[in-house]
Amino acid sequence: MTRLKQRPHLREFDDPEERDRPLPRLLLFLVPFMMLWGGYYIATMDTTADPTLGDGRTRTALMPAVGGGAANGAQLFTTKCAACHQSAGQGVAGVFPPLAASEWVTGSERVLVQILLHGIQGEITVKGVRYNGLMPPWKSLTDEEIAAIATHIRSQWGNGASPVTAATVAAEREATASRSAPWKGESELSALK
Amino acid sequence: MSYAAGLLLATFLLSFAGLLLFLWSMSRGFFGSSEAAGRVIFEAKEIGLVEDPAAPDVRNTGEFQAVMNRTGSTGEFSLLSPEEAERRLELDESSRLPVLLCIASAAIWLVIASVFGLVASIKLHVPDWLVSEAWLTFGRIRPAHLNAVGYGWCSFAGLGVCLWLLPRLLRTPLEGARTAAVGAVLWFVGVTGGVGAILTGHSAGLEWLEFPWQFDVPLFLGGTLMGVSLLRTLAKRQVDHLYVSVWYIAAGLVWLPILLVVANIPGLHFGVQQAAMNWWYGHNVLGLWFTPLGLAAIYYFIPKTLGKPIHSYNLSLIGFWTLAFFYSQVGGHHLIGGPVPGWLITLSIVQSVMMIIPVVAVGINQHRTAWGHLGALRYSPTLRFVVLGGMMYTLASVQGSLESLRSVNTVTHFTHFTVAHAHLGLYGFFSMVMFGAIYFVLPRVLNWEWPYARLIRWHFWLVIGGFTVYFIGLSIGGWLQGLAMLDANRPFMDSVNITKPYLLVRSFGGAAMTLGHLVFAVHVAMMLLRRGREREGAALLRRPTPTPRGATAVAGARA
Repeated sequence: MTRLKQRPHLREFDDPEERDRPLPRLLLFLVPFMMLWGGYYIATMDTTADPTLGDGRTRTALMPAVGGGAANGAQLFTTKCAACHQSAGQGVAGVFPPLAASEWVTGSERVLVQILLHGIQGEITVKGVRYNGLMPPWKSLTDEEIAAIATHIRSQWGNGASPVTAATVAAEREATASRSAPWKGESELSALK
Repeated sequence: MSYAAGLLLATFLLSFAGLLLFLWSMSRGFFGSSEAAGRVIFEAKEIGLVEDPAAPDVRNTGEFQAVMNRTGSTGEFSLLSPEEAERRLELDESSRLPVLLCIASAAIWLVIASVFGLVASIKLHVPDWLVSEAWLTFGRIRPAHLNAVGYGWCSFAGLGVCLWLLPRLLRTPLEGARTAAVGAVLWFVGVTGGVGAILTGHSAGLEWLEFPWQFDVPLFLGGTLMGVSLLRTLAKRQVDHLYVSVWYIAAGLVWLPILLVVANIPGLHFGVQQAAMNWWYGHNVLGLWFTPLGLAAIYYFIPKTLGKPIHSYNLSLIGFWTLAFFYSQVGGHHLIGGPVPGWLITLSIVQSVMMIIPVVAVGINQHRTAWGHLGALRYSPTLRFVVLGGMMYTLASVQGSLESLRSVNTVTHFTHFTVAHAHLGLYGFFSMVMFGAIYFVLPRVLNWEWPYARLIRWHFWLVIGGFTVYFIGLSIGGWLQGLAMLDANRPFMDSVNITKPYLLVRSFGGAAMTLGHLVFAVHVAMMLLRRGREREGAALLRRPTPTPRGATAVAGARA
């Protein structure tokens, strides 16, 4: 007992208790769970998607529906035609012919498609009024797009003509494939009828 | 499964096996005693002793200590011996010049950036306001706000706190304090030039990289000078254990220069690769620069103010290594739907979700350290800011992981929801922590007490109140905006009009935050000019109560 009264021992602190803590159980469950989820996510990712699109949508999914749908024709009409023929198809008096109630629009679908494909440069009479202007060719559009425009203008503003199919456009395009100049007014167009 | 997917899966599983091995070896104690490492920030008999130089004066420090005594602070503790106190003072003085430069610059940029932010916010609901000058237009003010916040306020605050922390953590005076001060000046030049370039219309045009590369050069040189000073101090360290804050700071100081150099080499990045690099940088600058600095401060100041070692040192190491492991590929989730390879997006989504692991590790650790002592938040300004900041780190990170998922991203991306999320991270987490840290650091460096406790209270309630309004309002508005944009039957303008009331609310929140920042900056300026009353004790958060309980002896020795 007397030995313990020596001062160095009395000055000593308690031995340190072990306070290393085990990893929390939550973490031990979480880590393997995260690993499984990550593996699953990678394994099930859609690798058939076009690699230029990052979100898994394919190119066709992003393309608007084509094939003569009314909405699509309307959209094309707005972007390609309405600048001259106006949004209600009434044209501009003396300068751009109207499409509403136009005999050229509601008449032969072959002639209409040919006008759309190659354009017109020359005189044309619409609803009894003579026009002499230039309509550019639209053969850079696809068959489906031209069919959609034709169908649209034949069904709007009181027009009630039958729809035009892409097959008709394809046939007309094929028939005049060698043509590079616009139609020279109604004289040449009338011959098509 | 395609070749790319198979390779990705194999790499993922292999690296995860490495993580499991790391966890296993840690649980077997191969990394040494975590108990000793967690005690590094304390002197021999200091555990159990609260410390907050910004906290209450003599009587109220007693209250603060009493809270800790009641809530389970154990062991015997005593005040620092004169030698220990003297050594601390030496450490704090060694870093005084660069720390003061950084914190003063941080306060200046905080105010400038807040004003830019507020102007940009108001312009979103009053579009015809301030449109006569080109430099005041939204397209310039908003990037100026972002860069002034990121490189001005946040980086300066983080660097200042680190320059002060490292000497303390390593028990070594700061090496090359003058070099670091030159570095701080260069950094200031870079930020000023860069923000000026944005306002005069010379932005480089990539988010987070708007500074023209010419102004990234002083930024890089300044950062390097400060980094060299810190790394030289690290080399001369006089401690056995590197405390977890040191891990974060040292890593951040290496990561930032790599990011800056790779992202800013002129003429290197083009097209899709440039977009991928842009978000690699934009997200890494948050996760590998601001996050490490913020977490380093949290890991120091919560235990320090409470006088209680961190709950589990090993857990904090897991948090560090998993952050380093997962973060660098996170940014790709901003390109969901963009023209980048699908596997890259998938990888970044997986890594973003994996960030839950480090966040849970950090969250458990902070929670278990502070839990049971939340009463102390009433007394210590530092603790109040830092603990709230830590909670918002967990929130922001979990929210970020969820936002990376394709299903959620479809709604939230390109909306104000993302803006609210970004502020939760950089403001709710990082800036709050930095406020708390600065309230602790400045009195120590200047050897001067905060002049007006009332200003600290004003600052706290203005920024907390303002930010709550800001975040909740903008999150709701952003979500509604996303839903409106997804609905093909609604015109686009619906998605704009629906956000108007929320943008107005955001401006009110932002105005309160800006006001709070002004209060803070004025207080810092008074401090630097040694204005106001000199005090014996520290500034109060709560008024002193007439009957102090607990260790009244504590107050005397705060040298």
